[in-house]
Amino acid sequence: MESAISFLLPLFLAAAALLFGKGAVTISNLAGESLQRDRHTPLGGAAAFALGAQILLLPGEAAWLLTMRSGADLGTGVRRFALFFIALGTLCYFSWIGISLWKKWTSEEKPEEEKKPPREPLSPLWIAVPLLLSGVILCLLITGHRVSLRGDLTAETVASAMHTGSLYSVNPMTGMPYTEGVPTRLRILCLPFLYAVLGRVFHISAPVLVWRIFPVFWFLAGLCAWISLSGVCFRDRKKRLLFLSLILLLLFASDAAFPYDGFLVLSAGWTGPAIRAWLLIPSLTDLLLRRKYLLAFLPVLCEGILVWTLFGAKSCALLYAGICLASFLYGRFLKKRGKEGA
Amino acid sequence: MMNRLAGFVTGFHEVTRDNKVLVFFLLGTLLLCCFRELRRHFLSRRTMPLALYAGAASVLVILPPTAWALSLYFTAYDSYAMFWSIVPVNLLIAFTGCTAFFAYEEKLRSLSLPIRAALLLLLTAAVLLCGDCGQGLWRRDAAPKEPDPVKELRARYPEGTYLLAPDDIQAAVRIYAPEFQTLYGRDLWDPSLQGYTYDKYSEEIALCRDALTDFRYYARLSDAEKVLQTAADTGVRTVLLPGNEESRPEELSKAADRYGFTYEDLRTEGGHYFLFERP
Repeated sequence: MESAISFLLPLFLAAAALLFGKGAVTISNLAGESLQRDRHTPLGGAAAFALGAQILLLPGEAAWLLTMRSGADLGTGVRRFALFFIALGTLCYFSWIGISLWKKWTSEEKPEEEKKPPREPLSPLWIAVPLLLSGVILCLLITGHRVSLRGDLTAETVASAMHTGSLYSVNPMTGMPYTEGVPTRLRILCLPFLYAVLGRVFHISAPVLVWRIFPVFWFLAGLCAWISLSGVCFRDRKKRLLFLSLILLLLFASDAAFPYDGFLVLSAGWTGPAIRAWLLIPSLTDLLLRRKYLLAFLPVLCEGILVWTLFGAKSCALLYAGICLASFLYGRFLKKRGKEGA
Repeated sequence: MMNRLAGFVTGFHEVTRDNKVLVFFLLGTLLLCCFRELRRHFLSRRTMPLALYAGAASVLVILPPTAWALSLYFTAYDSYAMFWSIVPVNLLIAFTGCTAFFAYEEKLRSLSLPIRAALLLLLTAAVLLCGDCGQGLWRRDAAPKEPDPVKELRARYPEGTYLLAPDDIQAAVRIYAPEFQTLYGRDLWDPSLQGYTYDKYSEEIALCRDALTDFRYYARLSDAEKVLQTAADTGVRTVLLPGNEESRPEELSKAADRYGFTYEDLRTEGGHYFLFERP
């Protein structure tokens, strides 16, 4: 039975993601305006939510590393998480508000003709299709009908941590003390800690938290990343909506087995690989295509603290390096062709 | 070395068999190569780096020698299918599909409405058939709700107990009732979980699990005795055996006495079980 306070968790997650994201996007847009000038493509609200969801992981990881190193219990971990969360939240809040106010005071009023032209009307079908597909996916995630536990022990780990008051003190599979222990690389991942902390604060049981609330949160954050990416790829609203519809349809098409995107998002949305496939990769591509190279380190870092591999940042790091190299080579090619043309 | 290279060829076949979306990806690439008009729309200045990267990454993953080089970058835990995570497949299919649609929008508009509707239906069906045609929407690999036998056990043992039960009950207990301890966990029968801990189960425990699983189907007394003996040796306090029409309660009761357990017939809405408790 969940307590009354548990209904505040979705609100808390949404507010935190928006606050963190707005702070980061405001700073990034300001830097972009002054450094890139005419090549600057500002990040919008959707990108802010996607980035905020990723930034939310950072206080979790910092608190978890401190807690793990000192061998403290989950209660101490909760206090440390709250401390980092409030510090980062305050920083983001003042950056967002401060820069927005400063820009408002310093910018001149735009003449009427420079303001955005009114949007051309769209047939409701263009909007209905992505909305319908998102609705179906959200229903599946909220009801928890598609949960697959194969290869994942997050729910057991979180339930054990909330019961014993410390993470990895017992083997989550049996509840007995470890005889040999767990790999260090697994121990530094922050998701079980973050889920356990929020489960304890909001009094939510592990299955509801892990299988229902967080898949919905990560899905919405990922959807925002795709919306932002569609804005980079296409300027036309129709094209953007068709692109989103195809992306959502492809989730059902790639719902074959682990580790394909559709299966990960629909059946294991709380896991690191699902977050990587649905949120980190589109967010990283979006940032790189907008030339936000510094901010694009965030998804790379997040993959390192979410996905269990021997050296963490893997697919995102390769994508980052690959697109940067391709941009550089293509820029050289264009320059050379321009010179030859002249 | 040759075996590993051959493994990547087999891996590619398996991946394209399991995930037909990749076929769409390859089809999209082919379309891009063939139609100049499509290429002109697709390869804008802004998206060119993405296209270049995706092309290079696809080659890296598909060709066996480069896939082998890539395997050095990945870890031993990553299967060939995981290598595809470096190629933004869905993004590129959606991008190509969207570009193709708008590149040929005028030509599509010139078609009659029934043909357009048929084309749309055909394409949607083709995309959905790549998955499992909607069947997977309602698949249940694990029950999201607490099973009835677990509720019954929680009511009987509010402080928890050291339990030995069928796989589904033991897996659910560790999620819904973490105060319970179990002799072994899901990692015994799900090999993909074995990398999460250095701990290993003894052969005796594996044999006990086999006997418990067999008892569900064959109701052999020898299997029940094997389970009870392991439980007695390892200090397990509560044993739950799955009910079977062919099992004989008198024999089970006698076996319980021999190994120091009490015997009880347990009927829940979730099924029929035999409950053995250490007094």
